[in-house]
Amino acid sequence: MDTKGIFAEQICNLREKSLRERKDRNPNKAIATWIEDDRLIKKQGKAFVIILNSKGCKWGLGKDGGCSMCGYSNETSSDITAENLIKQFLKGLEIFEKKEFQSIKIFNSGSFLDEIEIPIEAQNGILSLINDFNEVTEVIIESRPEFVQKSVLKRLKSNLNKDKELEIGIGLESSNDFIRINNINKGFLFNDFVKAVDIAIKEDIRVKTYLLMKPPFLTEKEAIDDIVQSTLVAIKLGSRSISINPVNIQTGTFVYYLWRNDIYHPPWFWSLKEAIQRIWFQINKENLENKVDRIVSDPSSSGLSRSIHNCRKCNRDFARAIQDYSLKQEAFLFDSITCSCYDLWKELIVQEEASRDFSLMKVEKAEQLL
Amino acid sequence: MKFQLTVSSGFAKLAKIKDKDKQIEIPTTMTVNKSGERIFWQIGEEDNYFTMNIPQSSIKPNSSEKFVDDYANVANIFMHKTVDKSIIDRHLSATKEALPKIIESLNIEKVAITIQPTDSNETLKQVLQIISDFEIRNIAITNFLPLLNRPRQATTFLGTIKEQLPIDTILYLLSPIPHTFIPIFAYAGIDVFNTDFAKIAAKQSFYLTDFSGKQLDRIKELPCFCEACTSVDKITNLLKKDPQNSNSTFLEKHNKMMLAKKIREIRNAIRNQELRSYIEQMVHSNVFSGTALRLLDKYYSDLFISRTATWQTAPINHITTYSFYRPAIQGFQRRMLDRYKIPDKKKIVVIFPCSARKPYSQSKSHKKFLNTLDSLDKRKGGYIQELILTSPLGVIPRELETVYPAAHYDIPVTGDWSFEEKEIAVYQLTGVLEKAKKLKMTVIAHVSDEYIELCEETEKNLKMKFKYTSLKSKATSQISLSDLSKELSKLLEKLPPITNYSDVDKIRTIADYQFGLGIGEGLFNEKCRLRGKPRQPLLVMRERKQLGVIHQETGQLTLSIETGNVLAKKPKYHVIFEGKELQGSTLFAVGVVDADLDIRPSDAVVVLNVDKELVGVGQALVSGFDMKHMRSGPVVKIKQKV
Repeated sequence: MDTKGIFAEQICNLREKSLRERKDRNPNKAIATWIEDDRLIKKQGKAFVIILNSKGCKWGLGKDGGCSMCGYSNETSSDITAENLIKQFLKGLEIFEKKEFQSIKIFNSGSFLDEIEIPIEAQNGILSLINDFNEVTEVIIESRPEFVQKSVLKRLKSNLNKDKELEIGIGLESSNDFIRINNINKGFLFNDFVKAVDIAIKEDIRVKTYLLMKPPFLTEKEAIDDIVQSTLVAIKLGSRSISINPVNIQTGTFVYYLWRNDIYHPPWFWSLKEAIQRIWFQINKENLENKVDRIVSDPSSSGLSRSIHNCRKCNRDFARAIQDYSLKQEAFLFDSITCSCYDLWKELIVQEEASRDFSLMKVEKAEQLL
Repeated sequence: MKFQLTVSSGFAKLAKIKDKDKQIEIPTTMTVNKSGERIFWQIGEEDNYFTMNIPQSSIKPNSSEKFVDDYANVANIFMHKTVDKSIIDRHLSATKEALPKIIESLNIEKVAITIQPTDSNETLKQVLQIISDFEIRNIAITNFLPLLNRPRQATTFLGTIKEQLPIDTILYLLSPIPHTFIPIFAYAGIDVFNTDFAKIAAKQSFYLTDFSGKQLDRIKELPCFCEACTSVDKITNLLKKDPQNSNSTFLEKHNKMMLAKKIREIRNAIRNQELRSYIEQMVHSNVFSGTALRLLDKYYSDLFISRTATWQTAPINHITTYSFYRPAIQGFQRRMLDRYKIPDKKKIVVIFPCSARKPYSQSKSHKKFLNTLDSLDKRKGGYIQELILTSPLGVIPRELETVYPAAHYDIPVTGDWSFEEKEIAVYQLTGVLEKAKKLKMTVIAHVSDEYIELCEETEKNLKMKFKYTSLKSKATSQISLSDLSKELSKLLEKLPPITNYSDVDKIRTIADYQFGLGIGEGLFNEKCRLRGKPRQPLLVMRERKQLGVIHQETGQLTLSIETGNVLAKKPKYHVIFEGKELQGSTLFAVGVVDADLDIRPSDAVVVLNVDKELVGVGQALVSGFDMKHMRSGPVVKIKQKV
């Protein structure tokens, strides 16, 4: 199957346009760092999160690409050295020196394992620095599957103390090749993911699967089905962590323009709730409980119109419930939320399925039309 | 599946669709229905409905779906806004390639295709070309809601579709729109409406009213007496019981009724040829509708006029400014300028003000005018041409005062003319009087008050002088009438007597108005006379032979075989059919080879065979354009055969 998606050229053009307006950044300063409540492998805890300012994702900057929803290329700088990256990491750690955390999550808007993006010295250097933190038990990095190679993984492991579990997050987004290639323009096949997972597991490295909820041109119902299906597939492959990421609209992306023209709208909280509950129902039904450690969702800017949302009355409750669920891994937590918009959502997803009208948010507020 | 057009009105139409034992009448509703897990569309009301499958994803041009519904929605055209044209073009060619295989085993009348608004009108035209190449007759429209804020895009989108596809194409609007938008979109050509907005509003505790809607807790008394509303004891109790929600069963029932009501009102309005009046009332529910109506009037008037019956009976109440641009009125004004010329023999033109009572000659004021003219030298009456100056039609020669809509309109009269009214009247009067200027006729303006300004404007336009006979007092006053009489006598004095056949003038003027300038003279010689009793059609007689009748209600002149033969040689208002002899009393679209594009619904037409010989005369049911492009259904009602 061709890995070039139907929107490839347009996405590429849009990205070039928005790169021209990319801000200059201090190469020694990370994009962001913070401490957050987090679901650790077996319990709740705290995580130190850092978003490195790197050269950017090879795919995202390539000629076929970039993903339809991804605007992270804008949060990169072209001349970043290994030294810069290590400085970024050190500085970030400095700020939270006195805080306690058991997990370190390193994001770089691309692939940590790509030597061009994160030079080997930086990869090794950063991991070695982590060894100084005794209480840290988990380290999470991210990468596209093509960079997940046996030799690379062996090297990484040799730089990290045995008491720390290493987990690689891979953005599978969807287990459906057609959706991943065309709706998302991710540029790799399910098989590429399967290979990467295999390699990682053989090296005793954990895999976290990132899934995208509601790529463009899918209905809400299709998006729910796709997330449920993809989660189960990933778990069965051996990915013990799943992260469900509802699309949020990042300025300058393909999805952003679709959204502005009313042919895309971010998913409802109700859909995420339904997906998560269906996933757990299915896990119990198929006795997969011991194959999975955590299924989390940490939607950015949730409750805003650019991100997953319901209605003004229940957005806040829902944002909190998602967080609560992610920490406790108890799907029934959602059941306490009731809101009058539930019935509306139910009606609208049927309408959307029947009409494939992606602009139904226009009738969400009847008083504005009448 | 059989499509049978009942009547067209601009972009809208009333038609029946039959298949085996089922029949629906459009415009109608469609709603989402479910059977087990399967979702499908139910088209039509209550028990009598057809089904259609839901559209598939637009990204995949090929699908191996099995079609089990009455209508097979075979493709969802990928033509979305935002997406680059090159990508869309690639998809379009893929769709074009895939279509033959998908539809080969299907009855084409049952094939539907889904389209959506696009950034480029060129893309839309390409898509419509594919649709007409494959002769697909059912077009479902989705992603339409954003256009509810963009009247220009909405009217261009629908107007382009209407221009490119034959009248027997059916448009289904899958997007759920509020009831207050249904009338204008029916007028713009949507035939089938997703009415599930009723449910969507109910889920938001929204109670729909005729022109709007309100949150239920803001309504003190239910203004409706439908079954659902009468079942509610007291609204305050209802809200107490369940303040959050779920009054939704009652609301849903009421709201559904509100949407269904709109559809029925529309069907009735089309059936009674009152759609335009209905729309002019309904546009007041939102600014969009008003804007859309103006845009349709401005950019699509030709097509609207061609699909609007020339001969109607329903009164036109011209109340808002929208009425100026009614197809019937614009059609009349254009025809006046194209097909009416003051006859050469006339020497004097008298301009009279209009009257509330129609036809004008039945009014008190015009009776006085006519008496004044009658009192003049009878042998010289043939020199005088009467014109009536009016709003909003402009100018009407006495001979055409019974013709639709001259005898059918009413307008609030206060003595103040609006800017548009003045502009239209002056434009029309200038056009008609150009010939008077050329042939140096004398123009007498027997008008007073606000009419004087109009005449003065026209004088300026034409660079000629009128004589005014009613400057000092009302046109109906004794002084003015005697001034008129004196002025006319003075002018006529110098002229020799001529033979005057006012009947012949009237018949010929109407014939010209119907069939084209100069046609009347060929059809009716000077021996023709009108004969008739009150409230009955006027008979057009040539000696003892009846050549036609003029209908009292519409003012239309019918054709006979005799006049038809003359018209057939022109050829004007012809419909050529495949074959030698007419069977039955109806001509069907399948038999039509060619038709005059001037033909509008209700026009009298001549039917010719392929050898261009007259085989009958009749009345058009659709426009000449539509006769040529329709694929089935009756197009001419035959009145007389050779």
